[in-house]
Amino acid sequence: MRKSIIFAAISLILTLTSCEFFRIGYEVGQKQAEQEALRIQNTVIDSLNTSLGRHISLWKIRAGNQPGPENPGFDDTQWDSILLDRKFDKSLYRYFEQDGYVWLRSSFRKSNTPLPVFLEVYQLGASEIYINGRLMKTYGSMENGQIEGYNPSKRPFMVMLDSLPVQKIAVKIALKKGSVPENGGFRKEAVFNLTLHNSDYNLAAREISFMNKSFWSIIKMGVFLVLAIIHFSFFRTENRQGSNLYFALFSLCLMLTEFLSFYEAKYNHDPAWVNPLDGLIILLESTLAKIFFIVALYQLFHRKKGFLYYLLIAGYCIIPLAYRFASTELIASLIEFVMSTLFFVILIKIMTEAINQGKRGAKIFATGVLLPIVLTFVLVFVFLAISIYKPYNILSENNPGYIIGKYTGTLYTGVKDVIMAICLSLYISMEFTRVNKTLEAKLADIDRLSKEKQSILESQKEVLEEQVKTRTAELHQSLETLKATQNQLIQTEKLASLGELTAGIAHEIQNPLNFVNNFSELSVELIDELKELEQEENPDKGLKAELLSDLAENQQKINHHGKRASNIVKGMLAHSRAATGERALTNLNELADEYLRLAFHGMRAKNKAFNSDFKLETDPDIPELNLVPQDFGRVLLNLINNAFYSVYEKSKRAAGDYKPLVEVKTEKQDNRVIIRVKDNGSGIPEEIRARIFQPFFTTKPTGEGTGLGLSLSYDIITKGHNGSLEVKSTEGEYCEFIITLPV
Amino acid sequence: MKILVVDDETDIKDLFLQKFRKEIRSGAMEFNFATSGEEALELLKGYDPESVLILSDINMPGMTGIELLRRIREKHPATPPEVMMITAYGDDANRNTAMSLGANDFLTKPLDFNELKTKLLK
Repeated sequence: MRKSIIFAAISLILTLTSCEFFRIGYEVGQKQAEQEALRIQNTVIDSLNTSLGRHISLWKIRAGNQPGPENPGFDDTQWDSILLDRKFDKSLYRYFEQDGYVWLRSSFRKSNTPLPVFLEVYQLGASEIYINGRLMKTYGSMENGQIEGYNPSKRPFMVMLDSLPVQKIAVKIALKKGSVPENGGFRKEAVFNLTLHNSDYNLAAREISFMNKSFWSIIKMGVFLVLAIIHFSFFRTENRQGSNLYFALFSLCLMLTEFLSFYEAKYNHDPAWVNPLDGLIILLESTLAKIFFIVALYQLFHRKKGFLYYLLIAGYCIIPLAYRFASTELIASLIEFVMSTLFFVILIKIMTEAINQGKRGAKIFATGVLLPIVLTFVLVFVFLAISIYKPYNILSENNPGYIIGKYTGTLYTGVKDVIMAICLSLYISMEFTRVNKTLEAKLADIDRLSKEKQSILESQKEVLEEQVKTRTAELHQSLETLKATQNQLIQTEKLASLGELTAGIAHEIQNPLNFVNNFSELSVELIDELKELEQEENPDKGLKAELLSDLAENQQKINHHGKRASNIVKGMLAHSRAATGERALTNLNELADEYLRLAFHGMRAKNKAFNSDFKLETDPDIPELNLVPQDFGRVLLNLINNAFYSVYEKSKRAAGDYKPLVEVKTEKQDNRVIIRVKDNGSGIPEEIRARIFQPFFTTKPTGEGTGLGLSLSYDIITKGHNGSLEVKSTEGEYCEFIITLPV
Repeated sequence: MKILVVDDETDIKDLFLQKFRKEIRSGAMEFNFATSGEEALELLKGYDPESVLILSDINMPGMTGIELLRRIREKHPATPPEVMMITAYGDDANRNTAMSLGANDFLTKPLDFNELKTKLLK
């Protein structure tokens, strides 16, 4: 991409340079031919020669519209004399102020007649041109006071002259009021000027020259348009580079300048458009293009905008105003010259710094920018050298140095912009390419880095996963341990409540066993007594019957108390069994009775000082329920134990009239069974009521309670039996646990 | 001799009636039974305290034997009535409490009826 851009740029420069040299060469040749022709025929009589023809300068002038001056014999001796310049002439303009019409008269000599001559006219109004009294040409119209201007823009027309030694020429000019600004507008074009060419005037060469100009203009337009498009697209692809945008605008301005100049020179014949077009061209070329170029340059080389920068911008802004409002072009030219000098100074400074900073492409740019200037100086030097060496008048048209010097100016103004634009474009493109390459390298870096990061992340991920696995395993282990611990705790809780029971159980077993022993001993005694009675001669039959019935009764009692002891042992075993028991139809009332007594005796056995009254109120309508008896018994035992504990604690502090009482009440309501365990102990404070079912929550001193009793009870009732366990309490008065079971 | 037996176990009645069958039949002893301290105090109201011997279990729901003893000794600080305490827990604490409250004797379960008989007949 970079190579092709350089190649294209070099080709363009070569093409443009060769085109211009071709044009110079051609025009020099043409010029020489023309001069040669004039010299050979020796017809040059007008003292005021111009390079391209004879510009008639000396005229007689009179304001007004009256006919007559067209006649060759008209007496104009009383008229004013005037020298007409090619530029706007205020002295001429003044004559139009009367009614817009002016007559001009002059004469020229032509020895070799009849011969055709060629006339070139540039004007801002309408005109009628008479030679020897004949109307030769009318430009525009001025009939009936209606003035329509027409500018032939020096398009030549041919006139056949009569064979007279002195040719009389008269021109009537009409200028529409207000069509020309009083100071001549931007370019200060002449209101009227006329140039005569000899018969040998090479019309074809003139046309070719016009064509060459067109060709040159079109090439320049193309170049600038292409540059504008390239840099607009650069700007779009790389937004950060504002220099691209400004450079594109610069190119666009030059393109438009070229186009408008070309259009004005070749196609615009309406004098009314001359001044606006001139203004537009000046604005584009001398102000906008310059400003855009400077801005682009400053951005491109990252220059700080200092005093010089703003001075330049301001100067370029003033130029169109200077052209428009100053009475001569001199001021504007002066400003333009100063600004250009300043600009080149800045340019050289920037270039030097860029080269010193080692900016790639800066040298190419510098060469390109400075080349036209250097070339101009070289050519001016050559011009001076030749002028001094050859014995020509320094400003003579025959002086080759003059010709070279003249085209040096053309080269400088025509090619300078193009070369500069191309070189800057080249530089920008190189920068662009460099930035792109840097970006590519950075992208590759980023890609590499992200890949590295990715691999690091992956390895980290693996490590993390490994850690997570380990942690999970550890957690799992902890969970298992916890579960085991929980089971052990539950077991401990069971054993703890069993421990509380042991004393009660011992008592409960001791009593029936005593009965068993006593009644069996009694039975033996009764049998002995019966035997004695048998041996008596007159046995007391009543006594015998009594003894027998006692004996029978005793057996029943032995049996009853044996079973009683056995049941207690069974219950104890069931209670301590680790595995969750199976459901069985259970008589709730009996269960409640059994555990109430067990709990009471357990408390008694533990604390000798303990005493409490207890009541059991059962509802005989309660059916046998499908429960897990040992689980449910544990709940009852737990609740009743708590109740006894509470009343005992309160009795230790309470006044003498306090009667501890624990009530267990069973009740059937519709299709539910309600078991209430109520005590008149110290109650449960409201603030801890919500927490009592939480595991390990206990109000007992350390070592006395596991904190699992109520928690387990809650689980057994709610999860194991689909029931509910609620608590009601007033602190210091009572506490009531209410179990509700579905039937 | 009137003997009041206080125990929450109802079968104690049959046990005593049979054990002391001969004494009851001969009229040497007369047994009454109460299942709680409250009932015992109620019964005692109708007795001449001098002719009553009280045998009481300590371990009862509600009023305990110790409490009963204390109440009796409130009214009758000295013997009679003679009060013998019976308990399944033959620990010193209970015994000391009972003795300090004015119990005449302290027996442990299971009861040795021969010993009891001897003591009663003294």
